[in-house]
Amino acid sequence: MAARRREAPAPGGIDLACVAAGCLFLSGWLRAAPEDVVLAASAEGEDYVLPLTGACRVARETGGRARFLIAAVFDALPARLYFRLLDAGAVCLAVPPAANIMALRGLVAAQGEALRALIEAQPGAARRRLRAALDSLAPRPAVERIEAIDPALRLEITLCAVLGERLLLLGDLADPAGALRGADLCDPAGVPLPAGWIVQPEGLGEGPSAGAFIAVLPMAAGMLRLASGSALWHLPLRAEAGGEVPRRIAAFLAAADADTGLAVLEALSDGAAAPPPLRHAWAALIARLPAALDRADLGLHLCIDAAIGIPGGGLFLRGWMAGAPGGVTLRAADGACTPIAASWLRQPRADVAQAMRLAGESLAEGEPGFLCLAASPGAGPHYLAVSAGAAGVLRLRLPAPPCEPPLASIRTILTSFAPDHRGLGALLDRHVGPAVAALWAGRPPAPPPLLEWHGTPPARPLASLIVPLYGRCDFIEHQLAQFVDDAELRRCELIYVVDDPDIFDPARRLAAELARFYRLPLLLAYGQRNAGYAAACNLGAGLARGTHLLLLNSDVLPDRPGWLGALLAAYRRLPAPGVVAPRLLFEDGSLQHAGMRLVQQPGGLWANTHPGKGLPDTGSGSAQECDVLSGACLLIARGLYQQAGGLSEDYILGDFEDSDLCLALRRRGRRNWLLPSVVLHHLERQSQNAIGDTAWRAGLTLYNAWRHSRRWAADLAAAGPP
Amino acid sequence: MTRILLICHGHPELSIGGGEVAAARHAAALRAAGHEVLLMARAPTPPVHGGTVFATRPAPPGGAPADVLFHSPDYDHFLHSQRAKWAIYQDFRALLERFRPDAVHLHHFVHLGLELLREARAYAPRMPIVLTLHEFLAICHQHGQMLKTDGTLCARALPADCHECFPAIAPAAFFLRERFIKSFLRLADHLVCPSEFLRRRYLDWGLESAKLRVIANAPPESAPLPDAAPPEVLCRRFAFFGQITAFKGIGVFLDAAERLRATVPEARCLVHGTDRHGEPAVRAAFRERIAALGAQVSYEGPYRQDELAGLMRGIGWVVVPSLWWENAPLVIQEAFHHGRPVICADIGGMAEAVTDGRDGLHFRAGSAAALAATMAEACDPALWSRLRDGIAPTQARAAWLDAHLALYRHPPP
Repeated sequence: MAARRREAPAPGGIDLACVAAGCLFLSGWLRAAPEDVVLAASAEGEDYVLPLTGACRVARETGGRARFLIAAVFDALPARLYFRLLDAGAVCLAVPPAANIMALRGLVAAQGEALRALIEAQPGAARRRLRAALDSLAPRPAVERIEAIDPALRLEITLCAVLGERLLLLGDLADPAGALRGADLCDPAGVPLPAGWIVQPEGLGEGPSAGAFIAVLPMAAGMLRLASGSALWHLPLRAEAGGEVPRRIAAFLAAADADTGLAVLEALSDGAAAPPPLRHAWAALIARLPAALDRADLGLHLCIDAAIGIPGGGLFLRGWMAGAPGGVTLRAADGACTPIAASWLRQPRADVAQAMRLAGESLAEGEPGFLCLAASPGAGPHYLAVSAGAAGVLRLRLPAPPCEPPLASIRTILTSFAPDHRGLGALLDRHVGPAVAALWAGRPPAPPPLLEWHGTPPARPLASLIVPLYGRCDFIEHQLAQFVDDAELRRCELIYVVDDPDIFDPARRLAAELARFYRLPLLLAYGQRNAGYAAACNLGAGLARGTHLLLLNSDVLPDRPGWLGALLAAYRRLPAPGVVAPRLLFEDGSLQHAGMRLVQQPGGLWANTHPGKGLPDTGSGSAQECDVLSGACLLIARGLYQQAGGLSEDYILGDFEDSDLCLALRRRGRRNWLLPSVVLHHLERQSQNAIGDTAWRAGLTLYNAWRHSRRWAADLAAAGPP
Repeated sequence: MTRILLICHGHPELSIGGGEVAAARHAAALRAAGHEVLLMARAPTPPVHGGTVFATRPAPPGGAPADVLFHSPDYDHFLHSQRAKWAIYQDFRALLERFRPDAVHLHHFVHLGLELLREARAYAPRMPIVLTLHEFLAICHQHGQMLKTDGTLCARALPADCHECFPAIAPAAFFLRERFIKSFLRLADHLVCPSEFLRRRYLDWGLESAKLRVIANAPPESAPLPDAAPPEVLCRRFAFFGQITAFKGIGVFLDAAERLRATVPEARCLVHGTDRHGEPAVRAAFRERIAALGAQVSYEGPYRQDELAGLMRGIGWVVVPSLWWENAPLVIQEAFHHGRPVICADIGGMAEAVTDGRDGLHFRAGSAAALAATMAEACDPALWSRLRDGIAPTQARAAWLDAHLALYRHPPP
């Protein structure tokens, strides 16, 4: 952009021409001596001549130039100002004066004393008006304005404020004729800035326009340079300060539509080391975003089903999208952002496809569903910014992070994909696995357990039976009815661990009554939450006094007395015992467990299998070594259990912790033994069935299998195929 | 003299049924022989007095002691468990300590709770505990009848099959039920089976053979009356005694009676028993059916035990057409006591109690046609007289009592 100049060398220039309260203020420079030129103004077809003497103050500069300052009463607003050389009468420069109060304030700030001296030298009436004009500038809020008479161009800066490391510029522009030819930025010395705009206001210098404009500028911007057909303005940008500024910014953001407001905030914070403290404004704008994008006109739909905050950073997102935008970015309320469309995993969504068909829209190719563990972009609330090409950036807010216990979030995550997802490995390794692991690890610390002894326990128990209770507590009675007539059991310690808040009260009542009726002392321990089989066993083990622990499912029932003694004797007899476990049968007499076997699945995960399960039980035999044994009924020396750290609580709610323990013991050089001659009945999963939802159970199993497979991959691979 | 705590699942004056009648006779027989008996019977309502499950049933005039009523607070009809354990370890225990029995004999555990067995055992480890089994309730959740919910006869209870009968109950629950019930039954020293058929079923179910012994129900006391009519008349009179319920085979009897009208118009069929236990709709249908059958078939209404002699003398045949196995039907015992041959279904405890061609006739269970044919065949005074003469004399009460007293004296193993 170049200012239009006459061919002849200019006799001088005008930096500022401003009309305020019926007075004209001018500052400029002259090459010639002031006596040689007159300043003329034209208004409504007539020329006025402003004497440069008298109301003018001149200071000589080096190089023969002189600066002048004019303050004169001048009621009519001139359309044009120009110099006329007295001898030649040539018009050298034309500058339309404007009511650029901000610029004038800058002038006052820079040359206030000279101006006042000038004004005081004026005749009485003029002096009073000039004084009033000068005073009127002081208390008013900074407003900068350029108004042109011809053409009808008006630009007003209503706010210029520092936000973080940016300047926020708000203003109004009325340029019905499209006179504005361009706008760019200069530093305070008037040198154009190569970096330029951060947010270029639409319509500024691009044809006829009217309305508010918003610009975000680099801090280095000191002037806004505007060019019209015949003139060039430099609007100094001076940041306002004071208590009013934050309120006015907030008012602007509150009034702005959410997309505009967020675009400004994004620009203000993009790449900035110190983002502006506008959390409330962010949050308020994000709250006004739509919860879903439904732009049938663009063929673009995006919906987030769940957004779950992951402890330690990250958001787990599940949703679906139709259409192919340029990019999807997760953004936070402090300007931080993470692109997500590169890393998310897509998945089929039959429900989406059906809904689209019903709506008469065709679904683009590919799978609409996605899920993603996105690195934490920053503080919430969060939203997604979607680049939609010519339609600009579209934004949608994320659902509020659920206020729920970690297990509920885990449930949401583990039921958000099909267990046969084609990219299951990556899905677990990159998204679901880390998210669930962090949620599970981040669950609140265990509250102190509630303990109730019913009856007097044996002083030196032979062994401690640890029976977690989940879902139902009537198994206590079924077990006691079998234990009560077994002399060995009477010498043991019975520890029931309630792992289910729903059954603690009934379990308490039951335990108290049953202990009295059966005359069997028992300890009821309650961890005050559902922590899973491992945590329940560990809680019980921490309370146990027996030299050996028998971990026992509540739905395991002995066949006849003597079983525990046989297990204990085997534990003392067998070499380097880790755990010793019996054979278990279903209620129909078929085999439930005679040692487990880990088998690698097609997807690479290892699954625990029970060879022979459901088949007619084929007898007994002597003790045999097994890599892994079921935790449904498992004997281990208490000291060894504690050394091994007990059952791993990394598995959620119960699965794989038994084989985890067995493999850990093998690493310690221990051997795990199956004792087929001891038989108990196991009504497998009678309590786990209480979990209900099969998708949830399948998801849990998958996660636990993943966790187990990753931990023991080396050991399992070394063992080779069975 | 032996002090016997006799326990029954219903009081003979408050509910009617084979078990109650057997218990009442049992008590009377023991008392008549000079033994001290306390009858504890379950009452049909929740506790009536605060802080105790007990109430008292004053004895009728004649010097017998009052009976104790056990008002069951919280009964589990699947496991046959008394959920209110305090009723056992506190109230029942107090009764044991107060009465100090030499032996405890239970005529059933239903409505009371198997826990009684364990508490009695805890009270005195060497005191004989006897349990009389009256049907297959320990084995079968379907009213202990081993009659499947689809109406077919059941030979053995497997958890998977029981689940077929009760789809809402998991097989594992039936397994637990069996293990739970057995954990109590094994505490009894003697398990009295009124029939060999029932003994065999419990033996097959896994109860200890040495504890299972067959002792018939207490023999009836009332003296038989002379016949009300000659054999030519009596042999055409058929009577059904019992509750008017489907599984007693009332439908089979009425269908057969209808067929008999055509073949033997002069035959008469009588129905004795209460129809108050079924649903109102079933009762209405029954009454309607009877009315439609005309004069040859009549409903005589409920009867009392002391009326039996009078009712029996006017009929010739007692028909027992039950659809389920039965154990040792008292009505067969009564019929024989009064010299009446029995026409019965050819299954279970009925077939065992009645020998086809000697003291009665069998017909194919559940078949009205077969029963009608058998009844037609039975309208023969010579056959009737021959079968009547084939009835063995009722067991002497003294011998019956001795068999029980031996159990009470028998030192537990």
